[in-house]
Amino acid sequence: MLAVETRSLSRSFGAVDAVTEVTIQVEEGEVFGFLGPNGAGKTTTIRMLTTALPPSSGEARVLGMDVRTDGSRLRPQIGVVQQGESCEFSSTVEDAMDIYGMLWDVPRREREERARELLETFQLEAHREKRVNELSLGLRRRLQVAREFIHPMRLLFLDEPTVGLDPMARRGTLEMIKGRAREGMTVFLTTQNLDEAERLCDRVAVINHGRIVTADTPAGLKRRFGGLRAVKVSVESGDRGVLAARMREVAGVSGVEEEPTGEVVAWTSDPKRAFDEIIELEGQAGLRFATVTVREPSLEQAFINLIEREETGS
Amino acid sequence: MNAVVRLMLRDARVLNRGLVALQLILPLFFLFVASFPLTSLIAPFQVGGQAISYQRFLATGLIAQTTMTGSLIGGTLLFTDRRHGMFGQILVGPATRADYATSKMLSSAAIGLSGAVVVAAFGLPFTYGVHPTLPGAALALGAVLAGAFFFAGLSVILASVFRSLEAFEGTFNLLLILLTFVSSSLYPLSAVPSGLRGLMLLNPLTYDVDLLRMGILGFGSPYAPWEALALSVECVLVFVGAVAALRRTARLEAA
Repeated sequence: MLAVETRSLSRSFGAVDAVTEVTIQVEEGEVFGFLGPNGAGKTTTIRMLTTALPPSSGEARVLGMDVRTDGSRLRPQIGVVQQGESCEFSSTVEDAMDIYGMLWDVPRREREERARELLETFQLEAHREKRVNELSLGLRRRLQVAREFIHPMRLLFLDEPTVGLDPMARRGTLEMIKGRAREGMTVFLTTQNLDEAERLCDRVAVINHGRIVTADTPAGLKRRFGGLRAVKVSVESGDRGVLAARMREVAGVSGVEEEPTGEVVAWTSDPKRAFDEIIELEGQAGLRFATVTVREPSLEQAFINLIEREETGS
Repeated sequence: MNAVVRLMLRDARVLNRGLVALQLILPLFFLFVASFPLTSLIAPFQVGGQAISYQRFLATGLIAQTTMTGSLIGGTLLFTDRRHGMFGQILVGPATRADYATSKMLSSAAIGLSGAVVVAAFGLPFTYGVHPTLPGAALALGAVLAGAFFFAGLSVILASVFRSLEAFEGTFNLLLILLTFVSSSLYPLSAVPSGLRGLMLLNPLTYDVDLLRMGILGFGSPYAPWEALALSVECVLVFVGAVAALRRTARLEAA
Protein backbone atom coordinates (compact mmCIF):
# COMPACT_ATOMS: atom_id res chain seq x y z
CA MET A 1 0.00 0.00 0.00
CA LEU A 2 1.12 3.53 -0.71
CA ALA A 3 1.65 5.73 2.34
CA VAL A 4 1.59 8.93 0.30
CA GLU A 5 0.18 9.33 -3.16
CA THR A 6 -0.31 12.66 -4.89
CA ARG A 7 -1.52 13.38 -8.36
CA SER A 8 -1.01 16.84 -9.89
CA LEU A 9 -1.10 18.36 -6.41
CA SER A 10 -0.95 22.14 -6.63
CA ARG A 11 -1.20 25.08 -4.29
CA SER A 12 -1.27 28.76 -5.20
CA PHE A 13 -1.21 31.85 -3.02
CA GLY A 14 -2.83 34.53 -5.14
CA ALA A 15 -0.77 34.78 -8.29
CA VAL A 16 2.10 32.78 -6.80
CA ASP A 17 2.22 29.07 -7.63
CA ALA A 18 3.98 27.56 -4.62
CA VAL A 19 3.48 23.93 -5.66
CA THR A 20 2.62 22.89 -9.20
CA GLU A 21 1.34 19.48 -10.31
CA VAL A 22 3.35 17.46 -7.83
CA THR A 23 2.94 13.73 -8.37
CA ILE A 24 4.76 11.46 -5.93
CA GLN A 25 4.33 8.02 -4.47
CA VAL A 26 5.80 6.87 -1.18
CA GLU A 27 5.62 3.20 -0.25
CA GLU A 28 4.64 2.19 3.26
CA GLY A 29 7.76 1.62 5.39
CA GLU A 30 9.90 3.79 3.15
CA VAL A 31 12.09 6.69 4.28
CA PHE A 32 11.39 9.29 1.64
CA GLY A 33 13.44 12.46 1.31
CA PHE A 34 11.94 15.57 -0.17
CA LEU A 35 14.78 17.82 -1.25
CA GLY A 36 14.90 21.24 -2.77
CA PRO A 37 16.38 24.69 -2.42
CA ASN A 38 14.82 27.28 -0.08
CA GLY A 39 11.35 28.29 -1.23
CA ALA A 40 11.05 25.32 -3.58
CA GLY A 41 7.68 24.21 -2.16
CA LYS A 42 8.74 21.50 0.32
CA THR A 43 6.98 22.96 3.35
CA THR A 44 3.83 23.85 1.41
CA THR A 45 3.65 20.24 0.17
CA ILE A 46 4.05 18.91 3.71
CA ARG A 47 1.36 21.30 4.95
CA MET A 48 -1.04 19.97 2.34
CA LEU A 49 -0.19 16.36 3.15
CA THR A 50 -0.71 16.97 6.88
CA THR A 51 -4.08 18.67 6.22
CA ALA A 52 -2.92 22.06 7.52
CA LEU A 53 -3.46 23.63 4.12
CA PRO A 54 -6.05 22.61 1.52
CA PRO A 55 -4.68 22.01 -1.98
CA SER A 56 -5.77 24.40 -4.73
CA SER A 57 -6.09 21.47 -7.14
CA GLY A 58 -5.01 17.90 -7.66
CA GLU A 59 -5.31 14.92 -5.36
CA ALA A 60 -3.44 13.73 -2.30
CA ARG A 61 -4.02 10.55 -0.34
CA VAL A 62 -2.08 9.82 2.81
CA LEU A 63 -2.37 6.33 4.30
CA GLY A 64 -5.17 5.82 1.79
CA MET A 65 -7.13 8.82 3.04
CA ASP A 66 -8.01 11.96 1.15
CA VAL A 67 -6.33 14.96 2.79
CA ARG A 68 -9.29 17.16 1.88
CA THR A 69 -12.07 15.09 3.37
CA ASP A 70 -10.52 12.60 5.81
CA GLY A 71 -8.40 14.93 7.92
CA SER A 72 -9.88 13.97 11.28
CA ARG A 73 -9.33 10.25 10.53
CA LEU A 74 -5.87 10.78 9.13
CA ARG A 75 -4.26 13.08 11.69
CA PRO A 76 -4.35 10.61 14.62
CA GLN A 77 -2.20 8.26 12.51
CA ILE A 78 0.56 10.67 11.59
CA GLY A 79 3.21 12.65 13.41
CA VAL A 80 4.43 16.05 12.28
CA VAL A 81 7.61 17.89 13.21
CA GLN A 82 7.07 21.29 11.71
CA GLN A 83 9.83 23.53 10.49
CA GLY A 84 8.75 26.41 12.72
CA GLU A 85 9.18 26.36 16.45
CA SER A 86 6.30 25.09 18.57
CA CYS A 87 6.71 24.64 22.30
CA GLU A 88 4.91 25.03 25.62
CA PHE A 89 7.17 27.87 26.70
CA SER A 90 5.79 28.27 30.22
CA SER A 91 6.08 24.56 31.13
CA THR A 92 9.07 22.54 32.23
CA VAL A 93 10.64 20.19 29.70
CA GLU A 94 9.16 17.18 31.49
CA ASP A 95 5.71 18.77 31.64
CA ALA A 96 5.84 19.86 28.00
CA MET A 97 6.58 16.27 27.03
CA ASP A 98 3.78 14.95 29.23
CA ILE A 99 1.27 17.52 27.96
CA TYR A 100 2.07 16.56 24.38
CA GLY A 101 1.53 12.89 25.18
CA MET A 102 -1.76 13.76 26.86
CA LEU A 103 -2.92 15.64 23.77
CA TRP A 104 -2.38 12.42 21.85
CA ASP A 105 -4.31 10.48 24.48
CA VAL A 106 -1.31 8.34 25.39
CA PRO A 107 -2.13 6.65 28.74
CA ARG A 108 -0.35 8.30 31.68
CA ARG A 109 1.93 5.39 32.60
CA GLU A 110 2.93 4.83 28.99
CA ARG A 111 3.70 8.47 28.36
CA GLU A 112 5.75 8.73 31.55
CA GLU A 113 7.80 5.76 30.43
CA ARG A 114 8.16 7.04 26.87
CA ALA A 115 9.07 10.53 28.09
CA ARG A 116 11.83 9.08 30.27
CA GLU A 117 13.26 7.15 27.31
CA LEU A 118 13.02 10.09 24.94
CA LEU A 119 14.59 12.56 27.36
CA GLU A 120 17.47 10.13 27.66
CA THR A 121 17.79 9.44 23.92
CA PHE A 122 17.70 13.12 23.05
CA GLN A 123 19.96 14.03 25.96
CA LEU A 124 17.43 16.27 27.60
CA GLU A 125 17.52 14.60 31.00
CA ALA A 126 19.69 17.29 32.55
CA HIS A 127 17.14 19.89 31.47
CA ARG A 128 13.97 18.06 32.50
CA GLU A 129 13.06 20.49 35.28
CA LYS A 130 13.99 23.63 33.37
CA ARG A 131 11.30 25.80 31.88
CA VAL A 132 11.19 25.58 28.09
CA ASN A 133 11.68 29.35 27.78
CA GLU A 134 15.02 28.97 29.57
CA LEU A 135 16.35 26.55 26.94
CA SER A 136 18.51 27.51 23.98
CA LEU A 137 16.98 27.37 20.52
CA GLY A 138 18.81 24.10 19.80
CA LEU A 139 17.51 22.44 22.95
CA ARG A 140 13.98 23.59 22.20
CA ARG A 141 14.28 22.08 18.72
CA ARG A 142 15.53 18.87 20.31
CA LEU A 143 12.48 18.80 22.57
CA GLN A 144 10.18 19.49 19.63
CA VAL A 145 11.59 16.53 17.72
CA ALA A 146 11.74 14.26 20.77
CA ARG A 147 8.14 14.75 21.86
CA GLU A 148 6.82 13.64 18.47
CA PHE A 149 7.98 10.11 19.24
CA ILE A 150 5.83 9.93 22.38
CA HIS A 151 2.74 8.82 20.46
CA PRO A 152 2.22 5.90 18.10
CA MET A 153 2.02 6.71 14.40
CA ARG A 154 2.23 5.04 11.01
CA LEU A 155 3.76 7.96 9.15
CA LEU A 156 6.03 10.72 10.35
CA PHE A 157 6.49 14.00 8.51
CA LEU A 158 9.67 15.82 9.41
CA ASP A 159 10.27 19.29 8.01
CA GLU A 160 13.99 19.96 8.39
CA PRO A 161 14.16 18.23 11.77
CA THR A 162 17.87 18.63 12.42
CA VAL A 163 18.18 22.37 11.81
CA GLY A 164 19.76 23.92 14.89
CA LEU A 165 20.73 20.58 16.44
CA ASP A 166 24.26 19.89 17.58
CA PRO A 167 26.02 16.80 16.13
CA MET A 168 25.14 14.60 19.13
CA ALA A 169 21.48 15.52 19.01
CA ARG A 170 21.48 15.14 15.25
CA ARG A 171 22.88 11.65 15.60
CA GLY A 172 20.26 10.79 18.23
CA THR A 173 17.50 12.07 15.97
CA LEU A 174 18.74 10.15 12.95
CA GLU A 175 19.13 6.98 14.99
CA MET A 176 15.61 7.37 16.31
CA ILE A 177 14.22 7.88 12.80
CA LYS A 178 16.17 4.89 11.46
CA GLY A 179 15.04 2.73 14.35
CA ARG A 180 11.39 3.60 13.87
CA ALA A 181 11.71 3.12 10.12
CA ARG A 182 13.12 -0.38 10.74
CA GLU A 183 10.01 -1.10 12.79
CA GLY A 184 7.92 -0.27 9.70
CA MET A 185 7.05 3.38 10.18
CA THR A 186 7.03 5.48 7.01
CA VAL A 187 9.06 8.67 7.12
CA PHE A 188 8.58 11.69 4.87
CA LEU A 189 11.48 14.03 5.41
CA THR A 190 12.65 17.36 4.11
CA THR A 191 16.21 18.41 4.79
CA GLN A 192 18.88 20.74 3.51
CA ASN A 193 21.51 18.39 4.86
CA LEU A 194 22.10 16.06 1.93
CA ASP A 195 24.54 13.91 3.81
CA GLU A 196 21.70 13.16 6.18
CA ALA A 197 19.34 12.40 3.29
CA GLU A 198 21.93 10.08 1.75
CA ARG A 199 22.36 8.14 4.97
CA LEU A 200 18.69 7.96 5.82
CA CYS A 201 16.53 7.88 2.71
CA ASP A 202 15.50 4.92 0.58
CA ARG A 203 14.35 7.31 -2.12
CA VAL A 204 14.41 11.03 -2.67
CA ALA A 205 12.48 13.48 -4.81
CA VAL A 206 13.85 16.86 -5.80
CA ILE A 207 11.51 19.82 -6.06
CA ASN A 208 12.42 23.17 -7.57
CA HIS A 209 10.16 26.17 -8.17
CA GLY A 210 7.23 24.07 -6.97
CA ARG A 211 7.72 21.28 -9.52
CA ILE A 212 9.15 17.82 -9.07
CA VAL A 213 12.39 17.63 -11.01
CA THR A 214 13.21 13.98 -10.42
CA ALA A 215 12.73 11.10 -8.00
CA ASP A 216 15.16 8.25 -7.50
CA THR A 217 17.25 6.41 -4.95
CA PRO A 218 20.19 8.44 -3.61
CA ALA A 219 22.53 6.11 -5.52
CA GLY A 220 20.52 6.54 -8.72
CA LEU A 221 20.52 10.29 -8.33
CA LYS A 222 24.28 10.31 -7.83
CA ARG A 223 24.76 8.07 -10.84
CA ARG A 224 22.59 10.22 -13.06
CA PHE A 225 23.55 13.68 -11.88
CA GLY A 226 26.74 13.24 -9.88
CA GLY A 227 28.96 14.25 -12.79
CA LEU A 228 32.63 13.28 -12.78
CA ARG A 229 34.05 10.68 -10.40
CA ALA A 230 37.42 11.02 -8.77
CA VAL A 231 40.11 8.33 -8.90
CA LYS A 232 42.51 9.13 -6.05
CA VAL A 233 46.02 7.80 -5.84
CA SER A 234 48.04 7.96 -2.67
CA VAL A 235 51.72 7.73 -3.67
CA GLU A 236 54.09 5.66 -1.52
CA SER A 237 57.20 6.45 -3.58
CA GLY A 238 58.03 8.12 -6.86
CA ASP A 239 57.52 11.52 -8.43
CA ARG A 240 53.97 12.82 -8.05
CA GLY A 241 54.50 15.20 -10.96
CA VAL A 242 55.34 12.31 -13.27
CA LEU A 243 52.27 10.41 -12.07
CA ALA A 244 50.04 13.42 -12.69
CA ALA A 245 51.39 13.77 -16.22
CA ARG A 246 50.83 10.05 -16.97
CA MET A 247 47.30 10.20 -15.50
CA ARG A 248 46.42 13.09 -17.82
CA GLU A 249 47.11 10.76 -20.75
CA VAL A 250 44.63 8.11 -19.54
CA ALA A 251 41.55 7.87 -21.77
CA GLY A 252 38.44 9.54 -20.33
CA VAL A 253 40.32 11.60 -17.75
CA SER A 254 39.29 15.21 -18.05
CA GLY A 255 41.50 16.70 -15.35
CA VAL A 256 44.15 15.87 -12.77
CA GLU A 257 44.92 17.66 -9.51
CA GLU A 258 47.71 17.27 -6.99
CA GLU A 259 46.11 17.72 -3.60
CA PRO A 260 47.87 19.24 -0.58
CA THR A 261 47.36 15.91 1.22
CA GLY A 262 49.81 14.36 -1.24
CA GLU A 263 47.18 12.51 -3.23
CA VAL A 264 46.82 12.80 -6.99
CA VAL A 265 43.23 12.94 -8.22
CA ALA A 266 42.00 12.21 -11.71
CA TRP A 267 38.48 13.34 -12.75
CA THR A 268 36.66 11.04 -15.12
CA SER A 269 33.25 10.10 -16.40
CA ASP A 270 34.36 6.46 -16.76
CA PRO A 271 35.85 5.56 -13.38
CA LYS A 272 36.12 1.81 -14.04
CA ARG A 273 38.27 2.20 -17.12
CA ALA A 274 40.34 5.01 -15.59
CA PHE A 275 40.91 2.94 -12.44
CA ASP A 276 42.16 -0.05 -14.48
CA GLU A 277 44.54 2.08 -16.53
CA ILE A 278 45.86 4.04 -13.55
CA ILE A 279 46.62 0.80 -11.67
CA GLU A 280 48.84 -0.18 -14.61
CA LEU A 281 50.93 2.94 -14.08
CA GLU A 282 52.35 1.42 -10.87
CA GLY A 283 55.89 0.25 -11.43
CA GLN A 284 56.46 2.72 -14.26
CA ALA A 285 59.04 5.47 -13.58
CA GLY A 286 59.60 4.11 -10.07
CA LEU A 287 56.05 4.80 -8.96
CA ARG A 288 54.65 2.82 -6.01
CA PHE A 289 51.07 3.39 -4.85
CA ALA A 290 49.82 3.11 -1.26
CA THR A 291 46.14 3.17 -2.25
CA VAL A 292 44.00 3.79 -5.30
CA THR A 293 40.35 4.61 -4.65
CA VAL A 294 37.36 5.70 -6.64
CA ARG A 295 35.40 8.39 -4.87
CA GLU A 296 31.70 8.42 -5.66
CA PRO A 297 30.12 11.83 -6.09
CA SER A 298 28.11 12.93 -3.08
CA LEU A 299 24.36 13.37 -3.16
CA GLU A 300 25.08 17.02 -2.49
CA GLN A 301 27.09 17.27 -5.71
CA ALA A 302 24.35 15.48 -7.64
CA PHE A 303 21.76 17.83 -6.13
CA ILE A 304 23.79 20.93 -7.01
CA ASN A 305 24.37 19.69 -10.57
CA LEU A 306 20.69 18.93 -10.97
CA ILE A 307 19.48 22.28 -9.66
CA GLU A 308 22.09 24.18 -11.70
CA ARG A 309 21.00 22.30 -14.79
CA GLU A 310 17.39 23.18 -14.03
CA GLU A 311 18.20 26.84 -13.48
CA THR A 312 20.26 27.20 -16.64
CA GLY A 313 17.96 24.95 -18.65
CA SER A 314 20.90 22.94 -19.98
CA MET B 1 -10.54 10.83 26.81
CA ASN B 2 -12.38 13.28 24.59
CA ALA B 3 -10.19 15.68 22.55
CA VAL B 4 -11.95 18.77 23.93
CA VAL B 5 -11.32 17.62 27.50
CA ARG B 6 -7.66 16.89 26.73
CA LEU B 7 -7.25 20.34 25.22
CA MET B 8 -8.91 21.91 28.25
CA LEU B 9 -6.64 19.99 30.62
CA ARG B 10 -3.70 21.29 28.63
CA ASP B 11 -5.05 24.84 28.94
CA ALA B 12 -5.27 24.39 32.70
CA ARG B 13 -1.62 23.27 32.80
CA VAL B 14 -0.17 26.01 30.62
CA LEU B 15 -2.38 28.84 31.88
CA ASN B 16 -0.69 31.91 33.33
CA ARG B 17 -2.18 31.65 36.82
CA GLY B 18 -0.74 35.00 37.87
CA LEU B 19 -2.76 36.72 35.16
CA VAL B 20 -5.91 34.93 36.28
CA ALA B 21 -5.35 35.96 39.91
CA LEU B 22 -4.73 39.52 38.79
CA GLN B 23 -8.22 39.79 37.30
CA LEU B 24 -9.65 39.52 40.81
CA ILE B 25 -7.82 42.53 42.20
CA LEU B 26 -10.00 45.21 40.62
CA PRO B 27 -13.40 43.78 41.60
CA LEU B 28 -12.21 42.99 45.12
CA PHE B 29 -10.80 46.51 45.37
CA PHE B 30 -14.20 47.90 44.35
CA LEU B 31 -15.95 45.65 46.87
CA PHE B 32 -13.77 46.23 49.88
CA VAL B 33 -12.33 49.70 49.30
CA ALA B 34 -14.33 51.83 46.87
CA SER B 35 -17.78 50.54 47.72
CA PHE B 36 -17.70 51.85 51.31
CA PRO B 37 -17.08 55.55 50.60
CA LEU B 38 -19.27 55.36 47.48
CA THR B 39 -22.13 53.84 49.47
CA SER B 40 -21.85 56.59 52.06
CA LEU B 41 -22.05 59.18 49.27
CA ILE B 42 -24.83 57.48 47.30
CA ALA B 43 -28.10 57.14 49.16
CA PRO B 44 -30.12 53.95 48.59
CA PHE B 45 -31.88 54.37 45.28
CA GLN B 46 -34.95 52.94 43.59
CA VAL B 47 -34.54 50.23 40.99
CA GLY B 48 -37.48 48.18 39.75
CA GLY B 49 -39.65 49.54 42.57
CA GLN B 50 -37.14 48.57 45.28
CA ALA B 51 -34.78 50.70 47.34
CA ILE B 52 -31.29 49.28 47.16
CA SER B 53 -27.92 50.20 48.65
CA TYR B 54 -25.10 50.91 46.23
CA GLN B 55 -22.96 48.18 47.80
CA ARG B 56 -25.62 45.56 47.09
CA PHE B 57 -26.09 46.86 43.57
CA LEU B 58 -22.35 46.93 42.94
CA ALA B 59 -21.66 43.43 44.33
CA THR B 60 -23.89 41.78 41.73
CA GLY B 61 -22.49 43.97 38.98
CA LEU B 62 -18.96 42.95 39.88
CA ILE B 63 -19.78 39.24 39.61
CA ALA B 64 -20.86 39.74 36.00
CA GLN B 65 -17.95 42.05 35.31
CA THR B 66 -15.45 39.50 36.65
CA THR B 67 -17.02 36.81 34.48
CA MET B 68 -16.41 39.03 31.48
CA THR B 69 -12.81 39.90 32.40
CA GLY B 70 -11.87 36.30 33.12
CA SER B 71 -13.46 35.00 29.94
CA LEU B 72 -11.71 37.61 27.86
CA ILE B 73 -8.40 36.72 29.52
CA GLY B 74 -8.98 33.23 28.15
CA GLY B 75 -8.21 34.70 24.74
CA THR B 76 -4.60 34.99 25.79
CA LEU B 77 -4.46 31.18 25.76
CA LEU B 78 -5.14 31.18 22.04
CA PHE B 79 -2.89 34.13 21.39
CA THR B 80 -0.04 32.42 23.25
CA ASP B 81 -0.60 29.23 21.25
CA ARG B 82 -0.29 31.23 18.06
CA ARG B 83 2.86 33.02 19.18
CA HIS B 84 4.53 29.83 20.34
CA GLY B 85 3.59 27.74 17.33
CA MET B 86 1.37 25.35 19.29
CA PHE B 87 -1.75 26.44 17.41
CA GLY B 88 -0.41 25.12 14.11
CA GLN B 89 1.04 22.04 15.81
CA ILE B 90 -2.20 21.09 17.56
CA LEU B 91 -4.17 21.47 14.34
CA VAL B 92 -2.06 18.78 12.66
CA GLY B 93 -2.66 16.53 15.66
CA PRO B 94 -5.66 14.41 16.55
CA ALA B 95 -7.97 17.31 17.52
CA THR B 96 -10.20 18.99 14.94
CA ARG B 97 -10.51 22.75 14.52
CA ALA B 98 -13.98 22.57 16.07
CA ASP B 99 -12.49 20.68 19.08
CA TYR B 100 -9.89 23.37 19.46
CA ALA B 101 -12.40 26.24 19.18
CA THR B 102 -14.77 24.56 21.63
CA SER B 103 -11.99 23.86 24.12
CA LYS B 104 -10.73 27.44 23.97
CA MET B 105 -14.22 28.80 24.53
CA LEU B 106 -14.89 26.42 27.40
CA SER B 107 -11.50 27.07 29.00
CA SER B 108 -12.02 30.82 28.71
CA ALA B 109 -15.52 30.53 30.11
CA ALA B 110 -14.19 28.38 32.96
CA ILE B 111 -11.64 31.08 33.83
CA GLY B 112 -14.43 33.65 33.86
CA LEU B 113 -16.66 31.44 35.97
CA SER B 114 -13.92 30.65 38.48
CA GLY B 115 -13.32 34.39 38.93
CA ALA B 116 -17.05 34.94 39.31
CA VAL B 117 -17.21 32.26 42.02
CA VAL B 118 -14.46 34.00 44.02
CA VAL B 119 -16.06 37.44 43.68
CA ALA B 120 -19.46 35.96 44.49
CA ALA B 121 -18.02 34.36 47.65
CA PHE B 122 -16.94 37.82 48.81
CA GLY B 123 -19.70 39.86 47.21
CA LEU B 124 -22.86 37.91 47.96
CA PRO B 125 -22.66 38.56 51.74
CA PHE B 126 -23.41 42.17 50.76
CA THR B 127 -26.81 40.92 49.58
CA TYR B 128 -27.55 39.58 53.09
CA GLY B 129 -31.28 39.47 53.71
CA VAL B 130 -32.17 38.78 50.10
CA HIS B 131 -33.66 35.34 49.54
CA PRO B 132 -33.57 34.44 45.86
CA THR B 133 -36.09 31.92 44.59
CA LEU B 134 -35.03 28.71 42.85
CA PRO B 135 -36.01 30.08 39.41
CA GLY B 136 -34.18 33.29 40.35
CA ALA B 137 -31.00 31.37 41.22
CA ALA B 138 -31.31 29.40 37.99
CA LEU B 139 -31.69 32.64 36.05
CA ALA B 140 -28.60 34.11 37.77
CA LEU B 141 -26.59 31.00 37.03
CA GLY B 142 -27.81 30.96 33.43
CA ALA B 143 -26.87 34.61 33.04
CA VAL B 144 -23.36 34.03 34.37
CA LEU B 145 -22.88 30.97 32.15
CA ALA B 146 -24.20 32.72 29.05
CA GLY B 147 -22.08 35.77 29.78
CA ALA B 148 -18.99 33.63 30.28
CA PHE B 149 -19.65 31.80 27.03
CA PHE B 150 -20.30 34.99 25.08
CA PHE B 151 -17.17 36.77 26.28
CA ALA B 152 -15.10 33.62 25.83
CA GLY B 153 -16.22 33.53 22.19
CA LEU B 154 -15.39 37.20 21.83
CA SER B 155 -11.93 36.56 23.27
CA VAL B 156 -11.32 33.76 20.76
CA ILE B 157 -12.33 36.06 17.90
CA LEU B 158 -10.04 38.83 19.19
CA ALA B 159 -7.10 36.47 19.68
CA SER B 160 -7.65 35.07 16.19
CA VAL B 161 -7.76 38.43 14.48
CA PHE B 162 -4.67 40.14 15.87
CA ARG B 163 -1.16 39.23 14.84
CA SER B 164 0.83 41.52 17.09
CA LEU B 165 0.83 41.23 20.86
CA GLU B 166 0.73 45.01 21.26
CA ALA B 167 -2.39 45.36 19.10
CA PHE B 168 -4.06 42.46 20.90
CA GLU B 169 -3.31 43.80 24.38
CA GLY B 170 -4.19 47.39 23.47
CA THR B 171 -7.55 46.41 22.01
CA PHE B 172 -8.19 44.00 24.87
CA ASN B 173 -7.63 46.70 27.53
CA LEU B 174 -9.69 49.29 25.66
CA LEU B 175 -12.51 46.82 25.23
CA LEU B 176 -12.46 45.96 28.94
CA ILE B 177 -12.80 49.63 29.89
CA LEU B 178 -15.53 50.31 27.35
CA LEU B 179 -17.55 47.21 28.20
CA THR B 180 -17.24 47.85 31.94
CA PHE B 181 -18.14 51.52 31.99
CA VAL B 182 -20.72 51.51 29.20
CA SER B 183 -22.82 48.90 30.99
CA SER B 184 -25.13 48.70 33.95
CA SER B 185 -22.56 46.86 36.07
CA LEU B 186 -21.50 49.96 38.06
CA TYR B 187 -24.63 52.14 37.79
CA PRO B 188 -28.27 51.56 36.87
CA LEU B 189 -29.56 52.27 33.40
CA SER B 190 -32.05 54.74 34.87
CA ALA B 191 -29.19 56.92 36.14
CA VAL B 192 -27.68 57.66 32.76
CA PRO B 193 -28.75 60.01 29.97
CA SER B 194 -30.90 58.40 27.30
CA GLY B 195 -28.20 58.56 24.61
CA LEU B 196 -25.74 56.70 26.78
CA ARG B 197 -28.48 54.28 27.82
CA GLY B 198 -28.90 53.36 24.17
CA LEU B 199 -25.20 52.54 23.98
CA MET B 200 -25.36 50.53 27.20
CA LEU B 201 -28.19 48.50 25.74
CA LEU B 202 -25.90 47.45 22.93
CA ASN B 203 -23.45 46.00 25.42
CA PRO B 204 -23.93 42.31 26.21
CA LEU B 205 -22.49 42.90 29.69
CA THR B 206 -25.59 45.00 30.40
CA TYR B 207 -27.86 42.06 29.54
CA ASP B 208 -25.72 39.77 31.59
CA VAL B 209 -25.69 41.96 34.68
CA ASP B 210 -29.38 42.85 34.43
CA LEU B 211 -30.36 39.19 34.28
CA LEU B 212 -28.02 38.35 37.14
CA ARG B 213 -29.57 41.05 39.30
CA MET B 214 -33.03 39.89 38.38
CA GLY B 215 -32.12 36.39 39.49
CA ILE B 216 -30.39 37.33 42.74
CA LEU B 217 -32.08 40.55 43.85
CA GLY B 218 -35.47 39.97 42.27
CA PHE B 219 -35.55 43.06 40.09
CA GLY B 220 -34.14 43.97 36.76
CA SER B 221 -34.42 46.02 33.70
CA PRO B 222 -37.79 46.30 31.94
CA TYR B 223 -35.90 45.07 28.89
CA ALA B 224 -34.94 41.80 30.63
CA PRO B 225 -36.85 39.34 28.36
CA TRP B 226 -35.36 41.02 25.31
CA GLU B 227 -31.97 41.01 26.94
CA ALA B 228 -32.22 37.28 27.60
CA LEU B 229 -33.14 36.68 23.99
CA ALA B 230 -30.37 38.94 22.71
CA LEU B 231 -27.76 37.27 24.94
CA SER B 232 -28.81 33.80 23.73
CA VAL B 233 -28.68 34.82 20.09
CA GLU B 234 -25.33 36.53 20.62
CA CYS B 235 -23.91 33.39 22.24
CA VAL B 236 -24.78 31.38 19.16
CA LEU B 237 -23.44 34.07 16.82
CA VAL B 238 -20.21 34.44 18.72
CA PHE B 239 -19.62 30.67 18.68
CA VAL B 240 -20.10 30.56 14.92
CA GLY B 241 -17.87 33.62 14.61
CA ALA B 242 -15.17 32.07 16.80
CA VAL B 243 -15.07 28.85 14.76
CA ALA B 244 -14.95 30.86 11.53
CA ALA B 245 -12.20 33.12 12.89
CA LEU B 246 -10.16 30.11 13.97
CA ARG B 247 -10.57 28.41 10.60
CA ARG B 248 -9.42 31.59 8.88
CA THR B 249 -6.46 31.97 11.21
CA ALA B 250 -5.46 28.34 10.73
CA ARG B 251 -5.55 28.82 6.97
CA LEU B 252 -3.55 32.03 7.10
CA GLU B 253 -0.93 30.62 9.43
CA ALA B 254 -0.46 27.50 7.34
CA ALA B 255 0.01 29.58 4.20
